Amino acid sequence: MNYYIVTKEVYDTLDKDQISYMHKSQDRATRLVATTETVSNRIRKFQSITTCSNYTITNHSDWVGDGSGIFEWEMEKGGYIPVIDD
Amino acid sequence: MAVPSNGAVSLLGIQNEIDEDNYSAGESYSNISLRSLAENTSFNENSDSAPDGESPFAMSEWYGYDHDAAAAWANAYAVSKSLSTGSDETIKSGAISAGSAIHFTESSAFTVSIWVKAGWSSSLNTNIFFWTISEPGASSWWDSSMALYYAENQNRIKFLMRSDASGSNRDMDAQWLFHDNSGIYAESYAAAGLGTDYWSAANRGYNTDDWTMLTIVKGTSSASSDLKLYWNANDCGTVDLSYDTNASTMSMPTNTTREVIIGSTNNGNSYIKCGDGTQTQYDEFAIWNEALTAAEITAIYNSGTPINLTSDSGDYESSSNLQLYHQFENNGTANTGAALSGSDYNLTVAGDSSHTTH
Repeated sequence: MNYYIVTKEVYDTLDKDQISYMHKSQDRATRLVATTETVSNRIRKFQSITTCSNYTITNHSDWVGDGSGIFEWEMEKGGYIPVIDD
Repeated sequence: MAVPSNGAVSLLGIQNEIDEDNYSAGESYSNISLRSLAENTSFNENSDSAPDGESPFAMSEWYGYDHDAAAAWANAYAVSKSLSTGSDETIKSGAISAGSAIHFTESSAFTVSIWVKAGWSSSLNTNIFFWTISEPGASSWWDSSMALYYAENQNRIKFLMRSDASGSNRDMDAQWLFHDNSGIYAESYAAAGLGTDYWSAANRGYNTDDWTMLTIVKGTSSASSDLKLYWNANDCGTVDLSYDTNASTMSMPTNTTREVIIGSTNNGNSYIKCGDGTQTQYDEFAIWNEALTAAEITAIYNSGTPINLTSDSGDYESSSNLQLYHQFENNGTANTGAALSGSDYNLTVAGDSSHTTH
């Protein structure tokens, strides 16, 4: 699995069937995605789910806005549904 | 009381009972009589006894009547909170001493129920906390914490028990997803009735009265079969549950203080904001130290009309295990009749949080 931050415009071009998790940034301008697709046009790529989660915890105000972050288990659980979560 | 429950009945008492002005010298009070009392007064239905014959009533029928009798149980008030205001705008208790009956661990059986009237808008992209029981001053809100919250960005309710501030150790992380009518989530999809829209003030699911009763029921194990969420009286079905398989890291502490928070959560003593500025209402917060049965959940939901949880009623047989009860009829004062009440368990309603009628 690959973990990226991409712009909304890049996200719109991704294959939604390969995405297992997506979270919009607080300003809605970027997306954090877990996908099996390889994305070259990205803002940030994470080495692992752990570094990805830690990044959102460190920068929580950009992502969840409640002082927390996105936990690993939340990304592992997925639950992404393209027609609803776009 | 205008007319005494026993002893002498005075004309002044009768005068007050029929809402005449207080006695003034020189005025005529020809209308003040036992007959006028019988014909003019409005009975207080809360009184245990009242005249039951035909008017005019006999004197003996008045004995025991209490015009000022308070209703034994009422449900007119709730508390409300804007979700956007952040620190010191909270509904929370003081520090509850270590080892209390609500210091639950991963091996505790318990039930926690709350009624919520959603006020938030959709597309918030954040978490909306219904209740938290956590350690004051912990470094993060998920450290030594139990919480029930709605992850609006993912349209799911999450329940969490964590003993550790790290992101990896967890006692229970559970979630029920509402917008996916497939797999294990089909049950929660059906239970809530939100359809494919997210839960918000504009979409409250099955609740024609706008209120949702959310109840977490946990048995003594950490197995998914021992954890349930009810949306009103509807079982949300199989839970998507994660927990640490290393028993040594499943260690909800009981030796530190706790505080009960409604409508937000504590992040290092900063009662964090989440959601938007619309008031959400909370009511009927109750904690039992046992797992209520499905029949009991149906009984306390009572088709959308809360019941007095301090008394057994129908299939509800757990009033003796009720530990904490905040009905919010008297601001943040914990209801008596539960095992825990008094100042330690009262909630302070501060800042833009308010005590409000439904």
